[in-house]
Amino acid sequence: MISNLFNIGSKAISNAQVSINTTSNNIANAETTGYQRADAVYDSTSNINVGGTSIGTGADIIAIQANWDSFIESQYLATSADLAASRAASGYLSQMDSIFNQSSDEGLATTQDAFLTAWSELSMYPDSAAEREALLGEAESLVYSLNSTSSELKNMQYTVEDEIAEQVASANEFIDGIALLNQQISASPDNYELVASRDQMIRELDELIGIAVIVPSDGQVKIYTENGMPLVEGAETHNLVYTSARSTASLMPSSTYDGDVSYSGSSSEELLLEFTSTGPDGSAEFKVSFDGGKTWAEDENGDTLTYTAGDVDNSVNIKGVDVYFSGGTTDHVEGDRYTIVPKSGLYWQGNDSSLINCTPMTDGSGVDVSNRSTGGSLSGLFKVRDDELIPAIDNLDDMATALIWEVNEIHSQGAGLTSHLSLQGTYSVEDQTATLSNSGLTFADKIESGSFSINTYDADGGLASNSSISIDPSTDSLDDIVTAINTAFPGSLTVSVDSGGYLKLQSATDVSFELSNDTSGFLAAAGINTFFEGSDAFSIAVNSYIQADSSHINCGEVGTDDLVSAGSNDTAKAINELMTKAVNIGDAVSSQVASLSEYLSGIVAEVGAAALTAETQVVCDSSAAQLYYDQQASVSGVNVDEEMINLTRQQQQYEAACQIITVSQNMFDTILGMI
Amino acid sequence: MRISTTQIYAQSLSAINSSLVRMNELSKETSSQKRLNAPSDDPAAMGNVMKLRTYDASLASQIDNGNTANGILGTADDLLVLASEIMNSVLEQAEQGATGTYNLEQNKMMAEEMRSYMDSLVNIANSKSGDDYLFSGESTDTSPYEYTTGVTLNGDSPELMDIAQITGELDESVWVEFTSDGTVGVDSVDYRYSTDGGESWETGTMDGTTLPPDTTLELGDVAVEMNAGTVLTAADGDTGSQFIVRTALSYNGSDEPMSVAVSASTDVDVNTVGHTAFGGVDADTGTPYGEPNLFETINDAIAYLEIGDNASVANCLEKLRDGHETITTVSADIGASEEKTSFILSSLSLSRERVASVISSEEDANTAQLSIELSQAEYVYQAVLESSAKIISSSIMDYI
Repeated sequence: MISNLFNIGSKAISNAQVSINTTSNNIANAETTGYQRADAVYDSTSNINVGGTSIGTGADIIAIQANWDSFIESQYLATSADLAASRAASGYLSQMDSIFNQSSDEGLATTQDAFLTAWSELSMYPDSAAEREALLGEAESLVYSLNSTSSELKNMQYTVEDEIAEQVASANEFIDGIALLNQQISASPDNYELVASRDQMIRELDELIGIAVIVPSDGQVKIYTENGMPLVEGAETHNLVYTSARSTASLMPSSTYDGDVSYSGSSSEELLLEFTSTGPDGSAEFKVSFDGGKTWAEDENGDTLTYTAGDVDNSVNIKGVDVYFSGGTTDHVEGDRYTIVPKSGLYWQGNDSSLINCTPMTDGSGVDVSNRSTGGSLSGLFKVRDDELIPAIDNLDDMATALIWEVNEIHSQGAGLTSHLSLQGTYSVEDQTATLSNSGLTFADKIESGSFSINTYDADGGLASNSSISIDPSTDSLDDIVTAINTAFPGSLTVSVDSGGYLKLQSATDVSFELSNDTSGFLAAAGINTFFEGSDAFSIAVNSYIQADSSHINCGEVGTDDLVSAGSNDTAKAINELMTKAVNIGDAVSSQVASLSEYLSGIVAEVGAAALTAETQVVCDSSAAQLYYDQQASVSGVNVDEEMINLTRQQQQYEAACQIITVSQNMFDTILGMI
Repeated sequence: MRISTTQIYAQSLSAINSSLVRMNELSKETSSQKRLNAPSDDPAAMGNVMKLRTYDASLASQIDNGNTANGILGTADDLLVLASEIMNSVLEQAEQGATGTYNLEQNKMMAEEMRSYMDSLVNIANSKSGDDYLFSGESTDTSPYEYTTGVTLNGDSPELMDIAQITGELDESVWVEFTSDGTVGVDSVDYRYSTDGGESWETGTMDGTTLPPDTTLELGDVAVEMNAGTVLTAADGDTGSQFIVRTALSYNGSDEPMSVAVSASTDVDVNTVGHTAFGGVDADTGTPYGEPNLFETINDAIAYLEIGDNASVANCLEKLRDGHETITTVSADIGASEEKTSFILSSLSLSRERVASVISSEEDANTAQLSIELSQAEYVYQAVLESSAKIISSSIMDYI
């Protein structure tokens, strides 16, 4: 019996030590992220029969158990992935929000208004050098605002892409880390610290890319992306890959097409092409989807748009991407599909190193497309890049392009205070012998059939000769027009195309010239006598010809008497009308008729709305995630006060256990004393 | 529910932070006095405000243009009123000259006085506002009227179109009479001319029989080249071939007035095409503008007075009155433009006020509400700080 007492006492002492150790460890780890509060689990040892009486033999600590609720955790993981996604998006959107901020004296809209208003002021004082310099100043401010906004947005795009690359790298580290922990845990299943580290790592991976976790009975967790791609299965891993633009083909079993799809250009949209008719390149037609095949692109009448598959010279332009087929000697079959991802994207790597696209994608109404990654900060970053940032850059470019074209088209037909001696185009052709519509001019598709007039003047400013040059963009090449002008003005005007593909007009000594009445848009497309040069928000600039001499700002136009009056102001008035005039903005797929300022206010409101939605989403997702986080923390978190109480209790327990030994010892001494 | 120590601290921090964020937002609104400090504050309102600001900027520039236009129009109006007064004197003088009760010397003095009135009118026609001429249309940098030479016809022939060119500069009017019959470029024609109203004459011959034929009349300071084939008859009193070479005024301005936009749909002519008010001779073709042509008529009247042809002066009276009426009409037109511009200006100002009030209602903060909200937020912040401080400072350690 006494030995049993000693036994109970010594076990109780060591149990109390273990408990104190566990409690101390809890206190020490109170601030450790992901630490799970541990408890010692006591169990009474089996009774022994002494003299027909069953008596107890004390208690054992059978385990140190971490407090953790895996059901709460799986709910937390789902909400935390959403929160990470909306947080990542919201961060960048609030930056965009401040880039696009417009106050009454700062911002793009103000500089654009000031620029267009300056034309109205010039129309009042057409021959005033002061008004001209003021206008030039406003134009430069506008150009600067457009350039800097565009480059800020582009830099932001690079930052987003860098962050994506970094996050993919850390996601892969977590994937490998979890697989390693899986192995270690299988070696020592009771090591609750390892399990806690793995749980923390899963949380961190989940914040990068939303995941689903399955814990089988062997404790080897399996991790899948939300769209079901396995990332970790026991010790086996699949990594994520962030890679540049690529295209894939998935042909019908019956298809024997042996060519390849090629593309150039980039877009924030993914293009899914599906053939709607069978035939060779040049006749087979296909339709396009921007949401992975949920809906197909339609024209303004609601009919599905179809394109004819063509070679490199007959490429089709879809959302800024030129698509063409090459090397095909056999037929496309109806149902053949090609996916073009003209942007860097996220891929899942299979065992055979094959890549499966899981770049986050939303359909036209902003809903996630199902078979793609949908949660985690990676998805937030991709969505902010593809749905907000690049479209904002594109819209800004569209607006700048419209501004350049509309101002240039009016300005190129106007006349300044002094007539021209020499003019150099600012847009180059790739092929001066090709028809204008295929010449590679930036604004080639804006040229229409029509004509423009050239007047030449003698040294006294009297009219020397005039002629109208007719233009047909479908038949005339740049060379044809050069010949036509040279023939019309022998000895007084020399026109040529320089080695860079720029048109150049040079007058003879004592001859000057003016251009007018261009119904074809050729002058603006060639960049002759224009106000702006460049083609988008990033490249827009004031034509250096005007910058060098403000008297070449065209306020007026050649009058009915073929001369230019100092007070002529029709060009200035026409440009000022762009303040309210509705113009065509954007390309064929997303064309819009609006005034420049309306369009800009649309861009700003869209960015503002996206930022506001993201902020709201962060608030909602935070409260959802916080709820589960708190529930889990309530189970697993350390409360120092509670541990203090435990510690006190365990200390008393230890003292009591020692008292068992003392009592037993006394009993033993008493027995011995009897001998 | 169990609360872990980390939770207590995290919760305190997040409560402190969120109440601080609210304070910060409100203080931003207070310092800018604007409700809209970023597009995300109210995207639709921001879009609206941008459109309204553009509209406001275009209204402001139209108002600027309107005010400037009114200034210029007012100057022109004042000048034309002055011109009209001068015309009264011209008419008075012409009426005197038409009576026939004065001798040549007195007629010449009247002509001299008419000339000075003429100079005043030309000065008015050539006046500027700032750097720009008021009566030369779009050619605001070109002086509209210049002295040149012209002819007054006072016989049966020749016609205006028979005279090819006049060269040289004129001091006094030159009265030319042909003294023999003949055809220019065919016959030898004799003529005489006088620079003092017919008191003394010089003679000359235009020999059309030479090769090349002589078709030029040499008249002292000036030479008149006539078209070949003009049939001339010897002058006798006020019949036969005769004419007077005298000063004329050529119009060098534009035929189009300069106009500026004073509202989205209205352009106002800010200056005047000079010949519609004053007439004169077209500088390019050398032909006089159509009737009523004030400058030509006055020049004719001066020429008639200088040769003492009172009957012809009388004939000019009606045309002078017409010319005077033209000036008055142009002045009235300008007045009407001023009126219209003023009316547009006041409606533009009203529009601007309305736009300003709409912009204000969209973007301005409600100051009273803001100050209440700010003090509320401040109170919340202090409360959070106080309660957090209480929670984090208590521990069971204090009692063990």
